[in-house]
Amino acid sequence: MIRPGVARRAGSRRRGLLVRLERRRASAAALAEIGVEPSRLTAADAAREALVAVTRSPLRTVLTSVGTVLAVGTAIATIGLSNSAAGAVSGTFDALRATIVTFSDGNRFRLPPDLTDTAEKPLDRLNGVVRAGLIWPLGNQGRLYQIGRTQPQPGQPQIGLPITAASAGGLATIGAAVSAGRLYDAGMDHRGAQVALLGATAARQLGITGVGESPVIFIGPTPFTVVGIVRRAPLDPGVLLGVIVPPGAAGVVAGRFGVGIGRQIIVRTVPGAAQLIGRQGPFAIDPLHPGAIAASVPEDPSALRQSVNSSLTSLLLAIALIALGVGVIAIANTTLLSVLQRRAEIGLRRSVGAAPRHIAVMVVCEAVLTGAIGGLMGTSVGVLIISAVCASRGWSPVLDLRLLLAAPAVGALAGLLAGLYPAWRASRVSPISALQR
Amino acid sequence: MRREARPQPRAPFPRDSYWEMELDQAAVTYPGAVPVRALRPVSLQFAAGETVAVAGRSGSGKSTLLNVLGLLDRPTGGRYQVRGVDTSLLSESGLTALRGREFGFVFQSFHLLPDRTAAENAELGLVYRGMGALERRAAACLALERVGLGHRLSAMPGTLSGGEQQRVAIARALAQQPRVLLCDEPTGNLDRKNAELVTNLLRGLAAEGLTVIMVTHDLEIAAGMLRFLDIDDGLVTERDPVNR
Repeated sequence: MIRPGVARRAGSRRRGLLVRLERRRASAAALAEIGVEPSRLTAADAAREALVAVTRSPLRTVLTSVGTVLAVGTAIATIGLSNSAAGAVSGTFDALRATIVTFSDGNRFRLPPDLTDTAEKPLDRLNGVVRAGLIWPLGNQGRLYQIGRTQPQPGQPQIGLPITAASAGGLATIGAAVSAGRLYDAGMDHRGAQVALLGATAARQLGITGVGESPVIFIGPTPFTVVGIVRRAPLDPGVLLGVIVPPGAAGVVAGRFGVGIGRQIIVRTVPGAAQLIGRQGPFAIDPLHPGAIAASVPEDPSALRQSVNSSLTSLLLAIALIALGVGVIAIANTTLLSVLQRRAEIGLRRSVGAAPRHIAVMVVCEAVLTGAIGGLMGTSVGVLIISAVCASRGWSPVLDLRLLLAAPAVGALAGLLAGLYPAWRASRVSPISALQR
Repeated sequence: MRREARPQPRAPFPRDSYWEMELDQAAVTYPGAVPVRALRPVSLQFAAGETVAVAGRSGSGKSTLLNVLGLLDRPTGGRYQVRGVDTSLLSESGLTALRGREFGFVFQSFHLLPDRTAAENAELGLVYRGMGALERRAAACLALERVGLGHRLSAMPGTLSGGEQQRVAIARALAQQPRVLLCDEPTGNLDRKNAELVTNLLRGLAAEGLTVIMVTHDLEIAAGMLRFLDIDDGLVTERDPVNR
């Protein structure tokens, strides 16, 4: 229900509007009879006047638009950098995770194991496989073996270390690289050579710094010759903590039963082939019993990537919006100051025939132009920032052309918003002020 | 009888006026705790081509009268007609249009835009008539030629002498082809020689049929005018311009 007071006020406003409209119509008609036409300001003249006003003091224009430059620059830079960073993250993600497929025994404790020492070979022949290899922790995960520099004797110190069995292909798959010596090869594996690689951490614990004198370690009572010290294995950094032995010699350490438990083949694929290899792999390994092989395929990374992008973009857009708000306030403030400084000019324009709306349009056009210039400069600054950061980080810059084109328009819109209040103030300047100064 | 005594409703825009401008008991009072009567009720008529001097002490109401005549201010009482149109019934836009077409203003301190050339200053008023840029520039050039500054079209105000600046201001007013020129102490900031130049120019314009109303303290200038209005504390008295 509308309260009587509100209805009265609404009615009064409507009547006031009608009276004003009637007065304007009557005025125009009366003036037309004595040959006086209404004042007019064409769009071209409004734009020209704004251009002259904005360009007559370039420094002031630049300083006025600093807020918009910062806002648009921040928006462009943050959105561009988030896209570039997400692209880089996705690239790394693809390279390290989304291209890895792991095959394991469906039944971990069945003998003989489905994943034999030669099971990796058919996988190497599949289209899309970069490298495949056996690699698994001996014994159960987390088991430590007593390892020393000499035969185990009472009073001699032994260190508990994990042991990983890995074929030459497995070492290549996890990206193992040595700081000293070399990796063992497939020949040593086939011969059942009792050779070992030490992870960098394990080597430090055992006091082995190099392999020049072919150091020997004892796993239990069994001697193994250390052929290399592994300094990095990006895909399985855990191996740096222990000892790596070839599958051919693993039985000596873990026994006939232990050597078959927990076997895994890790396959590195080309980007995008992981899902396919995950489906084809079991058939390649054991065509008769593909169901006995379990394949672990990474989830499609696009969903994760999208989620990362979305979160980053939302956060950064919020920051950009805040910056834009600051820009609007900055332009409004400077434009208002300019209006106050130019009261005499505004009064003069009013005295020579400018209607209040013409003054308002002039001020708004100036603010819009200032905002658009700020938008253009901000776009340039944003692109420069993106280029510089991407160059320094080795990322591919991702620039959305639509965003670059929209940025000056956003600046102009900010200018429009910022110009409204100063324009209203300017339109209310009395022309007498021109005479009084 | 009583019905006949009631005044007849006035036509909103009577057009039978002979006068260019007509004040009918027009007054200006500024409200406040103590209302200020800036212009006491006055009735004056101005015909086309008249030259009128307005004199009075500082704060006597000269500028208020000029503001009312130039439609920069509305009288708070009485009526003011321009070419028969009652200005109290005009909208703000109507007043603006009438002001821009009928009146040209010349101020004591010139009021030129410092970052525009003489030609751009002269065409300022024409911007609000929707004229094309070339047409506008042609009108501004003619006006500058008329005031003897045809050779300084591209000069910036800062490079012009005081007399030249005032002549650019007069050209700005003339470019609008007004019927009335309102001058507020146009020679107040000029030396004797330039003041004479400007005064002669204004006299020449009046001789061509332009109505010139000028606020001035210069008795010599006032003596050359057709009419003389003396203002004291808002009260306007018309005197003989020579035998005051």
